[in-house]
Amino acid sequence: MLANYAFIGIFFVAAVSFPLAPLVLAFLLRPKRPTPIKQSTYECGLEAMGDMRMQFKVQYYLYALAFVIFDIEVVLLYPWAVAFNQLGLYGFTAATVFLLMLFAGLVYEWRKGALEWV
Amino acid sequence: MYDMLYNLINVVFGFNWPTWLISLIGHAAVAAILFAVAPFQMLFLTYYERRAIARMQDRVGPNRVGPEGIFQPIADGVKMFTKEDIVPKAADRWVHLIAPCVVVAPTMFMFAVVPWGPGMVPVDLNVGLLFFFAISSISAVGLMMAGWASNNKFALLGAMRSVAQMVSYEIPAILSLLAIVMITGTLSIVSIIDAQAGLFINSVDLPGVPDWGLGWFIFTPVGFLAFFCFFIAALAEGERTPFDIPEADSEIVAGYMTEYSGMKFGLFYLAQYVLNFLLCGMTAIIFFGGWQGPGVNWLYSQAISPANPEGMWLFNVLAGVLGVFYFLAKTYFFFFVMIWIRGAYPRLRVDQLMDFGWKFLIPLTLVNMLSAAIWVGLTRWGAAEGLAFIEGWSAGVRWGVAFALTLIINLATYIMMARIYAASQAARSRLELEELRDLAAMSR
Repeated sequence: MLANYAFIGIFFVAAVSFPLAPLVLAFLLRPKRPTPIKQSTYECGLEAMGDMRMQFKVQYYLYALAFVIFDIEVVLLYPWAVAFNQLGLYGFTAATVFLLMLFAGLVYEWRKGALEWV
Repeated sequence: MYDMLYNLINVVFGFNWPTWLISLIGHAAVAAILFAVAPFQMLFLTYYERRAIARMQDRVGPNRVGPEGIFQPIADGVKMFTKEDIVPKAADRWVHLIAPCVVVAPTMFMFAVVPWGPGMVPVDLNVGLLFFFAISSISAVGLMMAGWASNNKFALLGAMRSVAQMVSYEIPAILSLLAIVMITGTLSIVSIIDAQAGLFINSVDLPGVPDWGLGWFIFTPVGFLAFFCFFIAALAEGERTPFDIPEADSEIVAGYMTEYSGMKFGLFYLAQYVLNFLLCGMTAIIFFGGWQGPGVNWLYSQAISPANPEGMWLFNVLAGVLGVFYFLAKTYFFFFVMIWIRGAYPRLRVDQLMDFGWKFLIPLTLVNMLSAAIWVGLTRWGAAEGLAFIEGWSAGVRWGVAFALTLIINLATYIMMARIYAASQAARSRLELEELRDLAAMSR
């Protein structure tokens, strides 16, 4: 089993070096003639106005928070799902209580309007 | 496959190399082959998509470069290499350079656990499914880097949208797979495929069913609903129409790719198509049996494998060819469905996208997990697990009751959720209409 992760390591090295090859080749082949106009920020042909890194809708943040909560709950469910066949009725009941709390959380978010895009 | 290599080197050539050396060579060769095949796969998919979408829009599509335009993607590739790389002055040079690599590397890394045919898997991890989805979510970081480093309003908007979309749709995707994991009891992708032998009825649920390699999970109510949710989530993860809001070209130019040109742009393109290929492949593997199909299991039982070291290598080749054919046929079919959906549906709005993920797909997948629990309980359990009343039932009756019960639950939930969702959307558009009327009245 440990050997499997060694081969995953081989794949990791190969995957990380994979995008470098075309980038290096393109670096050797491509022309390089920068001008100020070319290097300006694109904004529909107009000069860029104001700060690009501006304030953002708070909804993105709320969705991210909801995602973190749900993702952690999903991670907790992974081992349960794998072992479910051997757990029997007790395991089923325990997870149902857990899933009901998850569901109640979703309904609470929904009712509170955290999932509305305003 | 590694056993075949072992056999070839030690028995046929008589070198007597140690096992670890042979599997090291084997894995390095497999990695090299896969990483050479993936770009060609992507080139072919771009050509295929352009031709297919052209047909749907009553056009011809690229047909000039080579016979039927088959060399068009290669010409595009050459163009990518020779285009100037323009980096805006205001951009963060290094993050701008690293972002495409961070997007491409995870998608290539995901190939490590995808099985192509019987015994043809690079690495059979016992947590393969978890690995696949854990790695796939890394590319969201790369997209955010691209959007932030470009220092462009469109790019930042696109990155924000794509990250919000990817994290939202990851939850229904994983929850729908958990239902399948509950039934198979394993996270190994190879074991999930092995569990889909049979003929419409899974041979685990009903022992003695003939093995035609057709016991796919799509034929159960649980698997059908999970497939439905997973494929929609996969469309969103792969940023396909109708979920291509992050790069909606009529709204925000090209999203996070706005300030990219040349090979860096090409890398984003590569990552997107490879990811779509992998997601279609995952759909085929988990719900449609991957390489399972009529004949493959019989051929593989005659071949050299850990279970049968005395087999013939010819059957390895035959089983491999047939298995890869089935797998690729299913995968390309789902890619065609993606193109079909692109040809048929308009783009969603951001709020519709978020609502659909959080208020429709997630409740549906949660209920589907309950159905999966009922399925496992009725088909596999007995008195030892606390279900004494089904002890006397035969396997066929158990399967029938489980099928009927989960079908009723899933259908009822689907109808109920669809009604709630439609009502909330209708209420929302009424609200918008009233606001518009107020605005019109004020301006008058």
